[in-house]
Amino acid sequence: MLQASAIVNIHREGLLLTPTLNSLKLAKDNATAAGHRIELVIVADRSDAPTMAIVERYSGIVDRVIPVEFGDLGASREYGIRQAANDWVFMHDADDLFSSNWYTRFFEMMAAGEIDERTVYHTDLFARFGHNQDIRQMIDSWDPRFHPLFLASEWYYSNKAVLNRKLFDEFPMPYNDTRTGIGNEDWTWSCHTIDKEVRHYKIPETICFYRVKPVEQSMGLNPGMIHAASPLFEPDNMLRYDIHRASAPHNISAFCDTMVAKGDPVIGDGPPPDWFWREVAIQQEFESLISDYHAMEPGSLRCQLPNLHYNVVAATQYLMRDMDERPKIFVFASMANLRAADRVVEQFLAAARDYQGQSHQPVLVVDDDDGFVFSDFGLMGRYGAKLISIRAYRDLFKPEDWYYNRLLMRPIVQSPNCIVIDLGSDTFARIFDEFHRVILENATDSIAVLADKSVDLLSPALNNIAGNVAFANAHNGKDLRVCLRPEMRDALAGNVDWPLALWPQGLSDAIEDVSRLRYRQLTDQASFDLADLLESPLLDSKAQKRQRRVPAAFKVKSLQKGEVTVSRLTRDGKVSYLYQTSITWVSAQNYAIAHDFLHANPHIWLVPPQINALLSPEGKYRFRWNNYSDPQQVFMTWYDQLVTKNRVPIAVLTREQINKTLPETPLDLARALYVYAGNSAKQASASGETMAIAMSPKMYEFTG
Amino acid sequence: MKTSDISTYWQTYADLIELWAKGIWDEVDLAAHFDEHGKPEGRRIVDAGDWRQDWSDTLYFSQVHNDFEWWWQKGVLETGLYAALAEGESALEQGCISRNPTLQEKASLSAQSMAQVVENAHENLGLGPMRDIVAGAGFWGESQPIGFLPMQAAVQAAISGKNRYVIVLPWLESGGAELVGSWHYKAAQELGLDPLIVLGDAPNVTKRFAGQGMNILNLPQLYADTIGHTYQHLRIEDRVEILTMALETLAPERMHLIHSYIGYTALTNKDARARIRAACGQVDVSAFCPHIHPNGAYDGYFRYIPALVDIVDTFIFDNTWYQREMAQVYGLDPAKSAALKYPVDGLHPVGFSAKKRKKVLWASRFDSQKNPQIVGEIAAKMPDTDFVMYGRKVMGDVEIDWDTMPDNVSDKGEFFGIDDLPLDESFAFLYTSKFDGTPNILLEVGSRGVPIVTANIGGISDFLGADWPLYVGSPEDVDGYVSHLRALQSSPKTAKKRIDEQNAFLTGDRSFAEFLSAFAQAIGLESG
Repeated sequence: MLQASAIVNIHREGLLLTPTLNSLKLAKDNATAAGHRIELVIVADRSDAPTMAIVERYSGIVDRVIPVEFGDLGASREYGIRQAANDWVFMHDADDLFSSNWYTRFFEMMAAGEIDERTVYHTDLFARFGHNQDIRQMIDSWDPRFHPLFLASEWYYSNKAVLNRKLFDEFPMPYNDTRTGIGNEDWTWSCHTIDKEVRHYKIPETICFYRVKPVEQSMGLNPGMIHAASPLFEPDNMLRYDIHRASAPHNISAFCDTMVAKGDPVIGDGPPPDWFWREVAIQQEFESLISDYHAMEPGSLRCQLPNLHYNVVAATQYLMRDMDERPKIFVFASMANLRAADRVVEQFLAAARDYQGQSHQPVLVVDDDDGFVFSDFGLMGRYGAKLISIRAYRDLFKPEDWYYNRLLMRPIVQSPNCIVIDLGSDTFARIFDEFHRVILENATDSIAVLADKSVDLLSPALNNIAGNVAFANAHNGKDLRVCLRPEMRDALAGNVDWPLALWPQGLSDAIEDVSRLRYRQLTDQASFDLADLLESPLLDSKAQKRQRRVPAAFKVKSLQKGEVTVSRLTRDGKVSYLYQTSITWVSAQNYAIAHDFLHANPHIWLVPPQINALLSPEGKYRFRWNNYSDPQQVFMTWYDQLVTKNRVPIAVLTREQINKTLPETPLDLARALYVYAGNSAKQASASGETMAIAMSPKMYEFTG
Repeated sequence: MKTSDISTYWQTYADLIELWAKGIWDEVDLAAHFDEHGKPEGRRIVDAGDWRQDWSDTLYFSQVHNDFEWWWQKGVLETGLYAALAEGESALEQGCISRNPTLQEKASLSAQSMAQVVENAHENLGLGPMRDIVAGAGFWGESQPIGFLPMQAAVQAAISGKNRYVIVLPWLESGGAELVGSWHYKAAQELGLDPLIVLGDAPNVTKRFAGQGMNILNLPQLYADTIGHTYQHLRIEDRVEILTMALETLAPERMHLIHSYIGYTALTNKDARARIRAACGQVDVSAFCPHIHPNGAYDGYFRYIPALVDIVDTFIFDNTWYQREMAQVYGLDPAKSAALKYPVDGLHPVGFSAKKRKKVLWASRFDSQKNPQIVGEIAAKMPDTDFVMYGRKVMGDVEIDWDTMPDNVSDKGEFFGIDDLPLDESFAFLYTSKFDGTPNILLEVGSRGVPIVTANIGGISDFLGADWPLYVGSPEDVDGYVSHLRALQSSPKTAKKRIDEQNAFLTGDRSFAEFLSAFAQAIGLESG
């Protein structure tokens, strides 16, 4: 009799646990019937009562229930594995199903001496069901078509596998850390193991049915996570794989088959085999969603091999090569966004080279679309710097959108204790959008250097940095410090809630030398000490004081309830009432204009804005022209837009209070305006082409 | 501003910048040049008022490519404003955000509006609509008003008094869900709960239901009447909102959802479900049998059960078989579910005359589930007997080839109620469905005194028991059907016996009184 343990990690799956346990019960019964033993262990990590009630119903097949309080899947999985009675362990999540032969096929291979302790065994097929339906074949990590560096872009091997737990002694299971954005623990673990030539293989004709929940119901969706640093991506190791592959038969060594989706003709990428459908017939009795495979268009359901993008291999090699063992200083720059970029960039590289006695390696990540070509050889010679040309990355390796950022993040992820310096680059803004947690929390220092000399509202660098700071502030962790020229201090300090610091004098002088005075003389004095920049103290600017927006000529008495402020505005004995929601911005002068308009037109009772700039649920601005020939239609539409998750700016000046109860929410206010405007005697009109703009509540606050 | 800054001058010629940049000319040389040649050659800018608040070098140089751009890009020339002045006053428009024709066209905003956007951008750097305008991502849009507010008012106006029990149905046509809903309505009425039926999916109400005097809140119709647009043109989420809002307005003690897609969608929507839960004292949901498509895929509202279980008080089934299935498949707690035996409206036998009863009656949907095409095979083995088929296609998942049907099979078209059927001419009711709950048609046919031949599928045994003599082996058992039909045809005595047995079932636990009691218990009330 052969034995193994099956660890099922549960949390709060509720009724979804039943199909899983029914499926595993069948697989266990089959193994028992074949004379083997499966110890079924449930690790209940902070599980709720409904989920535990389901577990109780399966006391006949569950051998042990271990309650834990980790609040982390990786930790509770590891704990369960340690507690298992057997060295060979199957790992299960609580809402997936497995083919009925999952345990028996493993025992058959074990009995035949085909099981190896340094191999991780996965199911032959990975069939997603529920919100998405598709089937992926497992690819043997020793298959000549598979290259380890594919793992830079994509997750190939889940931990829904069977393995010998001794592997965890050598390769401890990493944990997810949502604060730092480092996670995808099974992805990371497969990188670690494959680097050390642990094989990831399959048990033929077995299936994992993987449940995909709608986004709204998915608990585990956590964008912006990335798999951790791994020796797999170290340059020496990358070289080792290719040396090894060069000596192997049938090696595929394409530099970059970028013109096709896959690097090699795919053999066996065909319709599902009969044994798949036989298992569907079994498992659909446990979970009806699995029957949906039947409903797919003929020919559309295929057992697809995972992506074999050799351009990913080549791109990863490009991104990681020439990285030495020192910590890194990443300098991000867009040539088009930075004046005198050709010289300024090299100044930063020189400063990075000299930082703390050349203890760090500079890495230049440059958007070089502006016709400028850096010499990687020259940069290496002058600064020991590694060059990542975004033009080369994009044009030569043609990365697809879905892994474009992830691949670019790899050099940063592989560089613990790095320093990140952004000169307002487009590429940095792009990756920061998705991976700001990773950058902020894993770098020792992240700074944005704004080289603009004046506030140019359309400056790409300024806008990139502003967007990045908004993400960083929302993250509420480590700061993205913005270093700016002293002459920009007045323009920005007190006007933005950014963590600001000033350029040290050395940097100002150095930049002056290579920009305004650059044609006067050849100078080798244009340098600065990076430490001065990194240590430049923060200005006291974060506690931003918003300016009073209603002109001083008005006497203002405000009452705020929830998200709505009602203000009584008085000037020259004339009174008006302002109803404004907290996210609404209106030009300061428009308050006076509206007030005067109201009192110059006795038949007008409501003065709302002519144009609304609302924020759609996707965060895009939409302009709406309000037609007040039927004000109820307008206010009704505002209400509709609010209900449908638009952020609608509302600021309306009125002749009298529109109701006795103070509105508390934008919906209350829109409804009150709608009701008030139902009286046809209370006409509404805009006072010219006035505009109300919706802002993020964290970024703008009305202060009366 | 330092006086040695080249940018403190209007530049007439770009080559003057070069002279300065290379250090060939200094401040004195520049001043002398301008003193000698006068304003057309340039002058120093010393007045801060010359500065434009909405000036953008980036904008200017992205539109005007000249030598100045090169000097600016190299960092020698500090601002494009001066370069623009050299091009003449009109060139200033190019770099002023609010007056730049390209930007104005891109955003379709006047200079006055753009100036407000600029002001906003100054106060909220990098935020606000300016970024979208530059990126070309912001645009105008007019959306068709949905009309939640007038709809809310219309709902308030449409209801009178407090409805303690609200039944949410998709529509009121001729399906089983509607019948179940109507029984709940009657029971709730009996219990003094002032029931209300809310239609959530479509406005259709057949004459059968329209004439029953039920209190109905027809949201789709009310929407069309109030707003002037059809409800079906709204997005699903907007329809969900209308239903949610109506339930909030009604705030019933109990809400019972029966087969409304909008209703199920609302109860799985994070926001709507919380609001419904808060508004309704109790939430019950019905789920009947699964639908199995011809391709083998299972379908049905039961799939929502795992997602709903935490906010539903009771799942109500129409048969115990399915209740057990759900306990098995999902581990649904029996305490959270109930199986109700829906009643018939008394026994109304059509009279038993063997002479008159010559036909086999089939009445159902012409859908794959109901297996209508097998009637042809059965009829072919009974050429001396007329088979009359009533129904219509609903799912469109099967085609009946009437041309190849035996001559003794006739298509009689749609029926709207049990009394449209020639019950008194039929010696048997043939039911060929492949899967089902407890079909109401069987209860109604039984109540009219017509013996039923069927396979024992789904919840049929809840009506006819486990040992009904007229069960066939499976829905595809042609010989079994033929055998039972022949037995009924040849032996009026046997037929009479089966009718009596059916009556016993119906009068036993399918009475309204029994249902009322079970219903009251299921929703936590005591009847009577």
